[in-house]
Amino acid sequence: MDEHVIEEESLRPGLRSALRRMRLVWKVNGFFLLILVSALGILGYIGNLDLERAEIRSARETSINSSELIISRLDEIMMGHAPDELPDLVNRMATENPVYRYIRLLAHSGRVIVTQLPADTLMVTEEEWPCNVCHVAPDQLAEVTADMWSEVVEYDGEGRALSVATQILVEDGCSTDICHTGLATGAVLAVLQADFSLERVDNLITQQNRNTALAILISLIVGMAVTWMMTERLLGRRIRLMREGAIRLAEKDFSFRFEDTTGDGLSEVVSVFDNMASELSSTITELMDTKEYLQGIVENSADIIITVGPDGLIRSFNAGAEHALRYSRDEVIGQNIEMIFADPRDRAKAIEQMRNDEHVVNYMTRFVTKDGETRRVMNTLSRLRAADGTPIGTMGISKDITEELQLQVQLLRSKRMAALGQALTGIQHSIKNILNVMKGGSYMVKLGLAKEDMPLVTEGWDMVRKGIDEMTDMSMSMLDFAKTRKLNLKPVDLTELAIKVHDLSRVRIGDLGIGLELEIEPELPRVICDNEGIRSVVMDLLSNAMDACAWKDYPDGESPRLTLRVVQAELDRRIEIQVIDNGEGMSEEVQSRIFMPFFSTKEKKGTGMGLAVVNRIVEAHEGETIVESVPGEGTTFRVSLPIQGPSITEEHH
Amino acid sequence: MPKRVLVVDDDESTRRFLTVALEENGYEAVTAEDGDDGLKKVQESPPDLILLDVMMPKKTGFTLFKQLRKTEEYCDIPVIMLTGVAGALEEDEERADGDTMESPFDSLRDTLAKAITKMREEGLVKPEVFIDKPIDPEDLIAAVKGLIG
Repeated sequence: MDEHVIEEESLRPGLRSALRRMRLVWKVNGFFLLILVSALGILGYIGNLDLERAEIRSARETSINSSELIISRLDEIMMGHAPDELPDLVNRMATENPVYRYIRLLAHSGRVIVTQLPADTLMVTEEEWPCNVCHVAPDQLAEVTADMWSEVVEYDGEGRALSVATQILVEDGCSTDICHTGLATGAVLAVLQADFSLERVDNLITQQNRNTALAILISLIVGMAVTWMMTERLLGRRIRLMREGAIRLAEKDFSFRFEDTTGDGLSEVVSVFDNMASELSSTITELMDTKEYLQGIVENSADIIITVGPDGLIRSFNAGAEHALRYSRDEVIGQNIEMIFADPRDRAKAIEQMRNDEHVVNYMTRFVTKDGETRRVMNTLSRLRAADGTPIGTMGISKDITEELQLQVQLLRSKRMAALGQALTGIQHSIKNILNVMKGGSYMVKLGLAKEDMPLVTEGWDMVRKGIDEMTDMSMSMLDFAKTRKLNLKPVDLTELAIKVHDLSRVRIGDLGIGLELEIEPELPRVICDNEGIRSVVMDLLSNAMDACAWKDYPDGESPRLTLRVVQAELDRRIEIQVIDNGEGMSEEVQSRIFMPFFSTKEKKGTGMGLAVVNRIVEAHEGETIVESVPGEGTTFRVSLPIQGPSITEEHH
Repeated sequence: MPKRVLVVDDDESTRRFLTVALEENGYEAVTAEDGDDGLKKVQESPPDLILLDVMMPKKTGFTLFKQLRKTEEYCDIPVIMLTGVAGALEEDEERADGDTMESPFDSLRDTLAKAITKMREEGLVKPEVFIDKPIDPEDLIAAVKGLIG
């Protein structure tokens, strides 16, 4: 805990963040507050309605009471023919009940009594007085029914007013000729209208509205405060901690944890955060390790590793590149990659090639070092792509092979020298053997001449001629090896060829006491090859095998034996001609040299050209000559030929 | 009683002219065509001198030579080895050990040099004379005369 707990001091929120959190509180509690305020408003409104209804009811009662009074007084006044008292009556009414604002008496059918408050506007005259005979008994007004009333709330310049109007009806027995003429009993005699000011009720409503608003305001403040406290308690602190934790995570401080133990719903969120933090921590540690590891690989590689952006500018330059090209990375980063190419067209070519492929593997090119030295390099160019697959440049991994190439050239030169030496030694051996016979022959000729011994001369001369023939043969085979001969390719039945060779060699081989077996796989396909060439290959191999047998001292119970075998191989794409002997075999050293021209283990026999020519012919067919040999046990030569023949029908040398 | 010389060589022409040269100079020549045949001839009747070709099928001249040197009754018979590489061999002897000068590969000379070294390790005496091919019959006769008179 301890050091990981965020100190409150450091987290004191600024105004902006307080407002931000306020917004959060609003968001969280706005709905709740909205309902609260609406409820209070509705309650207030309902209260107002009730108040108004009560006021109107009382105003109506007042009006009814007043109407009865007015009607009875009116009768008295009318009966007494004292219209002057009418204003007094109205004035008295108004004085007795200050609620009245106006009282109007509206007459019907031309006979009008108008009474109005204030009294000074009263306009009633004796002449206008409609009736001075008849009157209505006031007690009869008790039967006035509700539908005789009409209520209108109207606004005038002094505020709201309630107008209550009531009809005054013609009473039974009042219908005389003197007054109310033509009016039946029950007809409307007049309408009494009284206006009641609603000022009082309006004041009350205003008061009540104020109270309601106050209540809403107080509820709102209390609600917000409570919400704030709750939010702060449940969320705010932890949100601040989470924010701080996220900031620390972003700053790669993975030690921060809430370690929340409250166990409420939010603590799950918080523990998820903690888990996320520790997972993030281990993931990032892993990532960092991997990154460092990969960077280390690139950086510590002895190879030249350079990355280049799509603009052709150098983006990275590893230590291997610094070492090999002698530039420091600061000198080259941001420079065009072409600066290190001896010929920038090499790069252009490689880039062109990369259009179709992601890589251009192992092409040779030349770099120039800072000192201007040209280095031969083996370069592999790969396209770099972002995670979404968009190309973001190229990466070149190059190996400085300048020294290797020089060594290779030297090695090749010394190999050539060794081969030449080998060839010369071989030629020398052959010539020595031939000269040996010729020298002996000439000695015999000379001796024969001195002794006049003609048979001796003839014998000596034959030896000399034999030497000349051998020398001619040798030069011919050398020529054979050196000259270019075009392969005469056509489908050849190797079964037939093998049988012919077998028949030709059988007698000669048999004379030497060597057994020859022929094994041919049935139904072999024809092979595209040079019939003569392959025949000579088989003959040569058989001849070598015979020598290998002749040179071996066979123990009792074992006899020299050769096998000529023809089989299909490699999924029937190739045919193999095998020549197997149980002769003296060869050491590995000898095996490694047998295809060299003029190499021979037979001092007096052969030119050392046989296997060299065999190999030439087989290679021209794009075939392979494989040797397997165990000294003292025997040798197998396997000539593998493609059934379809060589793909390139070049001339062979 | 003429001195008897055994000629062991697989080449018929060589055997023939060596025989003529030896007989012309008063020696009796006996021939064998390989190592085995040579040993048989020695066992039949030990000669006064052997002309031994190195490279022969079945049993090389050196194998036969070592066999003779190891056998008490034949170890004193002088031997002239006939080879194409004698000159190169002598050069090798003249050169001090550790001389690293490169020379063209020559399996015969190498084989021969190894054989001689091995023979010395076995306490055997190396052949009296090496004669290079092509053989000059007059030089050969001189060498034979030098050894057995």
